[in-house]
Amino acid sequence: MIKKNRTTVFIRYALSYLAVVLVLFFSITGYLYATMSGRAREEYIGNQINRLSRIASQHENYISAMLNTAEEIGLSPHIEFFRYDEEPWKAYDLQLQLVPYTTTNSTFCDQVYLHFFDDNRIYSSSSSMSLELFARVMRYEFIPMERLTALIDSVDRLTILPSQQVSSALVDTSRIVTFLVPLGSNPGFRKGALLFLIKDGIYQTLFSDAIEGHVNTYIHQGNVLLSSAEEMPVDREQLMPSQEEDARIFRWEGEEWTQISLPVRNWGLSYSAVVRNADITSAIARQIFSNLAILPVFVALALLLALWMARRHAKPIRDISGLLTGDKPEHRDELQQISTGIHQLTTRNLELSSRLEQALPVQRHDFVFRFVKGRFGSRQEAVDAGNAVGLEIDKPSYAVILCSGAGENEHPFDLKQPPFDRMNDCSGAGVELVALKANLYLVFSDHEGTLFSMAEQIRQAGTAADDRCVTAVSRIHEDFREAPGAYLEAAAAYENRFVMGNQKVLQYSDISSNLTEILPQARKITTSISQALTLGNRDVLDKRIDELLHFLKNTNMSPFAFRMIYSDVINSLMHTHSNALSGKESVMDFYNIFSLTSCQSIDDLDDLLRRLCDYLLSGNGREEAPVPTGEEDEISQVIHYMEEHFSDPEISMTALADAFDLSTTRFSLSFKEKTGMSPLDYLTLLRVEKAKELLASTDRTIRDISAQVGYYDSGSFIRRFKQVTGETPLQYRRSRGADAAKENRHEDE
Amino acid sequence: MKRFVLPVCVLAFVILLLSGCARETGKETPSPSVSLTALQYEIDNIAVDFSSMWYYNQIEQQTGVHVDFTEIKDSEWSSSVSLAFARGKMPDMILRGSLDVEEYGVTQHLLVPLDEYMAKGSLPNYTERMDQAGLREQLTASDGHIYQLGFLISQGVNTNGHFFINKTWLDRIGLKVPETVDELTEVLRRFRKEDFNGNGIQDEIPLEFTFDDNTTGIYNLFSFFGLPMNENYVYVDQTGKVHFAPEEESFFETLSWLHQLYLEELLDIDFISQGSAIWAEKVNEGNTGMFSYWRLQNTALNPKIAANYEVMLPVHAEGRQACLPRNMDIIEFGAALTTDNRDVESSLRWLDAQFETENMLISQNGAVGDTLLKREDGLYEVKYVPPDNELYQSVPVICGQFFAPAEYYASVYVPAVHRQEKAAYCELYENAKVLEPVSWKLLTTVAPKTTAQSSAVQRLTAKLKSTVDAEIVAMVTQGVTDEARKAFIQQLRENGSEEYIRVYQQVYDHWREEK
Repeated sequence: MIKKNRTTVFIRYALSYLAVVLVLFFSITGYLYATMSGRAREEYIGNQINRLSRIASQHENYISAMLNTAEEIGLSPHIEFFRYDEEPWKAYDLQLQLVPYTTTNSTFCDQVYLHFFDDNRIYSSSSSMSLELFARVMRYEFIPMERLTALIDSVDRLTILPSQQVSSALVDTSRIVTFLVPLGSNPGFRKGALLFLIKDGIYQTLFSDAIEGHVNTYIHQGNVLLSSAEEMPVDREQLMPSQEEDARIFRWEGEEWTQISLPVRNWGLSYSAVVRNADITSAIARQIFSNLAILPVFVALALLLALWMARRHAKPIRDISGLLTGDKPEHRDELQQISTGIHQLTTRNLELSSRLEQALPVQRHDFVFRFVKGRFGSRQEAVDAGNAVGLEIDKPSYAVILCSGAGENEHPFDLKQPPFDRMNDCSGAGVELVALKANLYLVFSDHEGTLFSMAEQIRQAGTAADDRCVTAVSRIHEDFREAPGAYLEAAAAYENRFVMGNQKVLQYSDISSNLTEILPQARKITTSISQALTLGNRDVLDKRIDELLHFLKNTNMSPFAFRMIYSDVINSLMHTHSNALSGKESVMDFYNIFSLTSCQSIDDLDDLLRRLCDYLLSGNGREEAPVPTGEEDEISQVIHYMEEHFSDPEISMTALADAFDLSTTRFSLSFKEKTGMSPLDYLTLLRVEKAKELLASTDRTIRDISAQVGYYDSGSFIRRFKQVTGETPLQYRRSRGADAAKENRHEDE
Repeated sequence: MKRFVLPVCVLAFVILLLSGCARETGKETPSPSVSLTALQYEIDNIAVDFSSMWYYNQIEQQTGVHVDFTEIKDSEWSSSVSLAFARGKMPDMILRGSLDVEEYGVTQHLLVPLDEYMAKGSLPNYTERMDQAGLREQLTASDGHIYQLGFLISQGVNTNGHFFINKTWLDRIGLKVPETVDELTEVLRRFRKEDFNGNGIQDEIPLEFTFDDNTTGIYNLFSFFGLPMNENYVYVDQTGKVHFAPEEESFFETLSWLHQLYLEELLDIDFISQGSAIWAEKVNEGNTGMFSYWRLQNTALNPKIAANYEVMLPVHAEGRQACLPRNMDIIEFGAALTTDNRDVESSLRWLDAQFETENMLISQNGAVGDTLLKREDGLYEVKYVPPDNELYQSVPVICGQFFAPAEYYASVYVPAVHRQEKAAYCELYENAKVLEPVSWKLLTTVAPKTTAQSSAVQRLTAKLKSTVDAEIVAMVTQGVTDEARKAFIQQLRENGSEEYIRVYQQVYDHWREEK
């Protein structure tokens, strides 16, 4: 049954293509036949005209030769008139004189005779006789002897006696055409005439070049038929010499005939050919079909091509049909199956689209969360994701708006609904923050002012539903990477609602913050944490995290500032150690901005930070250490050496490179590749860490500490210390001392 | 489709096998052991494939010699033969047509001398026949060797023209057949005077002749005065001296007599210019007293008219012995072997087989029982002659080898009736001793000439002929005067008559020496 179905499609294609090919074939053949038949008939007639022209030309060459001969003999001083009965011996000379003229015309003329007027003789190169005997011997079929002698004796112009039977021993043929030509061109002094006896066979030879088929050929002088070659019995009375070159059709004995004529030429001669029309038609048909004979070959090729194309085109349909019907094709042809399949697919697609439409808010919800959490690696990735959920976010500014959800309006407004649809240049979506009991709107716009207008619209809509509704907006941002910050800004502004009320949109810019002052110091500590992570030194790491906590606790800042700094610290660490975190989705939990906002104390943040650092420092977070090469092994030895001997002021990069048989440049590059810092920075870091320990735990002077950690010059030590920690050694000792005093007081209490 | 392929292949194989067997079984004789090549003369208007001709297949089966023929038309024969010798790519044999044996055999040594092979008996049929007829000399080249095989169909014709007189007219006027010139003149006068046709007009023609040939021409009339006039004007007397006829006394005597006849209108003056067709037309009008001709039967003459005439011996002038030119069998070129011949013995075996009597007669007349009949007395006779040269498709006819001297030919072949008539006239003239003792054709054709001699003769003949013929016309119509005679002789000398005679004398003398 499958085969039957497949055959059905193939046959459908094949029949269509074959029909096209055959229609083209018959159309082209019909057109060519119609156009060529007229041309072929003209060509056929033209060929006959050409043939007649050749005959006429050859025939008239013969006549010209005869006229020239008569002219020459008439002018010849060697051929003088004489009377035979008076000077018979001159006949001998005359015969000799006639020999060359006979020879000259021998190609077409059987015999040449000369007759002098006023004498009764006729001479050839081989014989002579009386005119009467000549007439008696020749026995012309249609010319009585008296008439013949009279004609010969009175020739004054070219006279042609038509082809007729003769019965004579003088000529070795039965039919001849006789030309009578007067001697000389001067009518007043004509002394005789020439007789040219031309075998009718010469004419038959002239006519024998018939092109093809049966042709009757005629030469007339006036209405007198001189000679003809007649393959078909046609009544000669039907022939009409023409004054023009033409092809005349006449009907005779129930058949149509065509007479092709040359116009009347010299000496009143006309040449014509008669052909049966049926022969012309068949000749034309043969010619056309011989020209078109190649068409069936093309058609055959086209048919093969059509079959091949049908097979080729049927195949994908079969495949598609197979895809649509699976392994159980139905008992219908494949096109029907495809039609049914497409209908089913369309129905399913509509259902899926409908479901997709219903799922769109969920996808937008997800998009908004991912955007605010800063999960997109690039702007373009974010734009593509926005487009995928129907949001056009590739705009120069965006902001995060928080609006408290209460009463009936617990879900975010749809920003496509009135009155938000008037914000033509805005796009965005909202999500519900259950923990915060607020709705978050992520809004993108071409103009910053529009974003604030949108925030106001949201506030008004919220207030309309619940007069306690509070709306807060972040600063305007352009960089998508600042999305978490934007959220924190909005959240900070939102937390300020208890102070500011809900009469207007709460803006982050209205909140005073010393964040800009403390953030650089916090980042220095973050750098030291990062360096400890790089070194994999847990003790140092713990100290640096303690230091950060100490710094934050001793700095007068709002919870928002804490979160911002923590966000910055975590972001920085994750960025620095991105390779270690690559592909590990679980680590994203450490940087969930919403978790951050849920942190209500510094200890919460501390826990978050330590878990991240533990993760990075543990085997899970660290990069898989490759098997060290020889060079890397040497770097490890250098690090170990530096950790053992950092207090030695003689340590220099050149000495270290020489000690491990490395070039200074190669040593520096390899070291930085392994540790992320230069050997000198690492040495400085080791010395500063040791100095911090000594500053915090001893009362030794700065100078002593400086010398103990490997500095000859305490100035250089102080400069390096401040460069690393942001504080002078003395400031550090004091701050650590104050902290220690506080701790002691707490312990005392 | 595939199930038909095997049966079709098997069927085709079987057909091929059977057809191959058929060809094998149809071949009755083994392949010839010798294969030769030949340049074969062919008549212009008859196309023949000699290689597949039935006759030569028979000869091949008899001799085991196969010949590949290259047919050359008559019009191209001379140039093709010359080209073959000039290129140095000669065939094994050259058959029929013509060949300058002196040039290619004697001068260039490109032909195989056959006399030594004849002596060894390699050509038994041919050699016996040639020697019995005494024709060896005629075939011997100037260096004494024989380079060719001759082609000869001899019918014993010793002269072309025999005289015929209107016996009906003679009987009507009660006269006997004249024997002297005077008697003849008188008879002619009577013929002229009598109105035999009864039309009241004196239109009877006593003497009807043409001009310059030995069948119907006035040349035969010179025989009445003992001059064997011929178209080359030379003859040999019994002493072996070569004469130039126009310088002989009898030449002028004849012309004087003819002038007299002209004046008395006893001679149709149209002889000057009329051809044989007009001559025949006039004779057939039944108004002619006397003429000369080949024979009466099976000619251009109307049998009813011919029945009025009777053969007569040539009359003789007073003190003269009638003497007509004598014909002789002229042997044409039959075959020659080139020096490139690869197998002379086989070639001669193949050629001599064609001279075997029955083979030879078949080659001329067709197969025995078909067109040729072998009578109970052992003689061969032609049964019928197929129309349209049909014979040429099975036998070579005149393009083949044939050598039949008169005596031999008469002993094996019965000629047609009209040929028997001619033979009777020839016998009559021979017995009456009115023929020249040595044929002029011995001089002009048989006796070999060097190339220089041939060239000289050819050149002088043309000049002398125009002079002689013009003078004959002049003297017949205007009479013979001493002045005219002297002028004529002078003109002949100027045109080389003495050299002409000298050359012919040398040729004849050389021939006699060789003989």
